[in-house]
Amino acid sequence: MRRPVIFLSPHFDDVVLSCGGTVARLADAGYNPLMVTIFGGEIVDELLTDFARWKHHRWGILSTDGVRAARQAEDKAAAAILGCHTRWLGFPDAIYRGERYTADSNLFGTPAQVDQALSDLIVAEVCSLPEWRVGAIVFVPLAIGGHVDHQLTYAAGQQLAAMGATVWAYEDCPYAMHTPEGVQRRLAIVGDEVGALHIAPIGNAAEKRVAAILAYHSQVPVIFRFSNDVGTTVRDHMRRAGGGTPAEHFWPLQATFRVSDSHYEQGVLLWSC
Amino acid sequence: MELLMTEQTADTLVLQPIGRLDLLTAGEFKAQLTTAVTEGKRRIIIDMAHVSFVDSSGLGALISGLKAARRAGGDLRIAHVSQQTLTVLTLTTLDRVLRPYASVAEAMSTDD
Repeated sequence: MRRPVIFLSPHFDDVVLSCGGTVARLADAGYNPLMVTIFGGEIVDELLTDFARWKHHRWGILSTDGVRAARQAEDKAAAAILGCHTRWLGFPDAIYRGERYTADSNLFGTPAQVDQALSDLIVAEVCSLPEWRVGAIVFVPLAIGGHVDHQLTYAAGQQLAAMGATVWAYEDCPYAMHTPEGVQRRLAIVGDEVGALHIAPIGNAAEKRVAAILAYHSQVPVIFRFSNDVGTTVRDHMRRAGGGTPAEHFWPLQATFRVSDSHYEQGVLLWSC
Repeated sequence: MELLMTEQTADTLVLQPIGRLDLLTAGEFKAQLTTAVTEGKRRIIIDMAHVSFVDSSGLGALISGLKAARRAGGDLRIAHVSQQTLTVLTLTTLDRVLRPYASVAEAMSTDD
């Protein structure tokens, strides 16, 4: 029986934006991958601080009604393109967690002290998923860009790795696309918590990643506001990642690195063995 | 999860879920809340005394019920929450939306 493959997405689009090609590749190989959105909770007006209202204005959200359902529909459409399943947990996005984050400077800073316990809750909920098995293969964001929700999901990945799961950190996009120097900055912060870069070729699955990204109609114009052509931006990034052919970047979390050392030395993707 | 209806008037319903309110049960619970609102119960009290565990999906179902009740001009309130539920509510900051009441009577009588 194959080990379950679970991709943890802080927000609705993060996995697809970052490593949708690998999701598609695993689906094609019969792994039945699951994409779990962590901070996908319902939005109510009381959760809107001035900062959240400002974000909504920027994103063109006029009412909290129907936002979650719309994002879920986009996520489902993207998942269908990649061939994976979805689950949505109910944790509120950082901008809706009261006064913990009231500006971009702290949204992309150190998670609030009280928020750090959320990683424990995330781990508990991931381990309660019907798909969860001991020895699962889990993908988490490396947290390039430093968004607090990405950092909390990465921290959950560290705990899961310590529990024996095989955990890989993926390269957060669009952060890595827009600010390539952010990758080295984050790697300097995590230090030896992760092993060396692994380049995963994705071949034709690259086009599925592009198509799945475009399924997030409400997000694409905001995320790629500096790009004239989303497809070209994503394809160029994937080609750069593979040195000319499309690929995606991953780093094994330390516990994984030790367990999978022999696979790693052979330069073989652990999840394709 | 079992769901008991313990009290009702023309527009008010008191529900008592029994068991876990989590990813596996949240969908059905949310559907039951929506149905209740559709049937005219715009004031819903959830007596949590026999809920053994709540996760983020369970809270999501409660908030969906709250939104449905509000759209109908009513409200959804929770009472008798456990320490575990209180911890999850506080950590997620959803206690600002789902303020726990000490008892069903208090939840029914308080205007705010």
